Amino acid sequence: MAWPEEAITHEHAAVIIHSFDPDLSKLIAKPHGLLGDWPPTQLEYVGNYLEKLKCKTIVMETRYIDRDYIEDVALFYSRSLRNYPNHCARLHFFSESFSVAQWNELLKVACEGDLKLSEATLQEQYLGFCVLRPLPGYPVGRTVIKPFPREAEDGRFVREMPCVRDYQVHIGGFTLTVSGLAFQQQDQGVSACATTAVWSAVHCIAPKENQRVATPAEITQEASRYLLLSGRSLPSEGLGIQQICEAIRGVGLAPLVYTSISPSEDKPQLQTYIDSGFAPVLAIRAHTERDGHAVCGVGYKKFATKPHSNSAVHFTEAATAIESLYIHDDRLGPYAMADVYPLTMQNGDIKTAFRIRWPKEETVSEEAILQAIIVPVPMKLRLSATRLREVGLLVAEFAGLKFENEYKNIVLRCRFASSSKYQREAFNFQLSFDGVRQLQQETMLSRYIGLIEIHTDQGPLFDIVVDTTETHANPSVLACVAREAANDFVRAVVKDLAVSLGSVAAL
Amino acid sequence: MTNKKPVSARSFSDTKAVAKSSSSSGTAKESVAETLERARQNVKSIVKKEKQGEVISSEVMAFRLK
Repeated sequence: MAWPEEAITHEHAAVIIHSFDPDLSKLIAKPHGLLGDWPPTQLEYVGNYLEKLKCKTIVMETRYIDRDYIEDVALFYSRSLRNYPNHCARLHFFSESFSVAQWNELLKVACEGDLKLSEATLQEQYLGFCVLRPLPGYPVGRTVIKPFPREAEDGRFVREMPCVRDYQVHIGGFTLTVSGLAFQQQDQGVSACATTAVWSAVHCIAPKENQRVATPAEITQEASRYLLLSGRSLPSEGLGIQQICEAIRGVGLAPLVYTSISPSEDKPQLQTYIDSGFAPVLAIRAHTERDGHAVCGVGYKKFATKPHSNSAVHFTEAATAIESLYIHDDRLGPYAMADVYPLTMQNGDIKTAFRIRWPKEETVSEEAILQAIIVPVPMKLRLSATRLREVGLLVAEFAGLKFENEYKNIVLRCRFASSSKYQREAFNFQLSFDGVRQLQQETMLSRYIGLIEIHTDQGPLFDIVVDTTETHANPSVLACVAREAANDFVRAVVKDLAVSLGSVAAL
Repeated sequence: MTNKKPVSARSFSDTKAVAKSSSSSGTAKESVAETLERARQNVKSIVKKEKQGEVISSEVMAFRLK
């Protein structure tokens, strides 16, 4: 026989229960012959993050076929001399301690007809999963872990994570759900940092457009189809921003590119896209490096709003509350914190800089300058954040001037939203019956709408709804909508504003 | 037959004209138009600076990310 019989049979799979140990490398063998650091930073980071999520138990699937990894094998690793397996292991994390006997008890309860009870028990404590790939030095595959709670323990800030989504998970016959955004470590064979950042961003948006999520291998192929910055596409030696745009187009989405200016301009851009659920790819460069690095924005840490950097205006922006971003950094891990600060360059320019940290720790991993923001958006969204904000800034200043005596703190927030979701939310806006009918039944809305939200400390005052199938927001206003905190005076002004903007008024 | 633009096609530069051409509650609308124009002037520099970000140079497009 040229090969052993077991090589061509279905191998045995098992589900193994482990007590949680933050050193996840104990679950996998150190790669034979590997010199240098072990375990990899990403594995340490995930273990550290789970410890802070109070993980108590790990359920390990010893054989798991991961769609992303098997595509990488088909494209690249299957042609290597080393015999790479086509399967991975998968770890599931739970916040309660349980034994094998208790796990078996859940199976028994399900067998006796109460599957929902077993699933509800597991769901309550489910923290997410991590695929372990059999790649020496690059074990962290598709990983979806729930982020830290929205409210900070000391109440000083809020963690906003609009770019997470629900993932359905099947384990041992049970179906569970975790809300997060997929992360993975770059393997430098099929995917570099840019590939994994685009992959995470696509994970966020593709399901909203009923599209299949492209694998890292497919993204690398799309990026290299028409343009190569270096000699070969595989092994991946990194991507240029133009290639990232090609990859985004190749997977059926549209790339929006914004060149970084300074925190005053960049923060509102980031807030607009992140609040819209469009995860941005951030191109950054460390002070000392020539080449850059790509990370994916998932959310932000929000404090109280601050006065506008331009003291002449009569409003401020929701984005002034952002002090840090939560990013997927494939050199570090998911939801890594990046403090955003202004950095004065030698020529006097003020640039947006990031200080990237381990979660809840003071250790700084890297300091870098933001170069550009690349956002995969739905094809039908033609309006950029800049053009939506052009009208947003005007309307916010209008409100600041008009309501100067009534409200001290007029705040502008712009975002994109699905019109059907907005219409459902609008039932809670305390609109009159005529206002509801006007907005829900007599106004045609684009699939995605641009929203200019004006609010104060008392609550939301009014929204401006913009048609995003247009390239300019002026003149493309569809509706001016009064909100919960609007009094009679505000409603009268909104009505007049609607006439000036050529839109309907829903009051 | 008048040559009036449809309402939805009006831009902000037309807001004064809208206010003047409107017959009902003219004073209030004139005030809205004037405030809109003042607001437009106040945010002009912010809008101009933000728009610079939409200019994508060839250096930015070729920036390599590893």
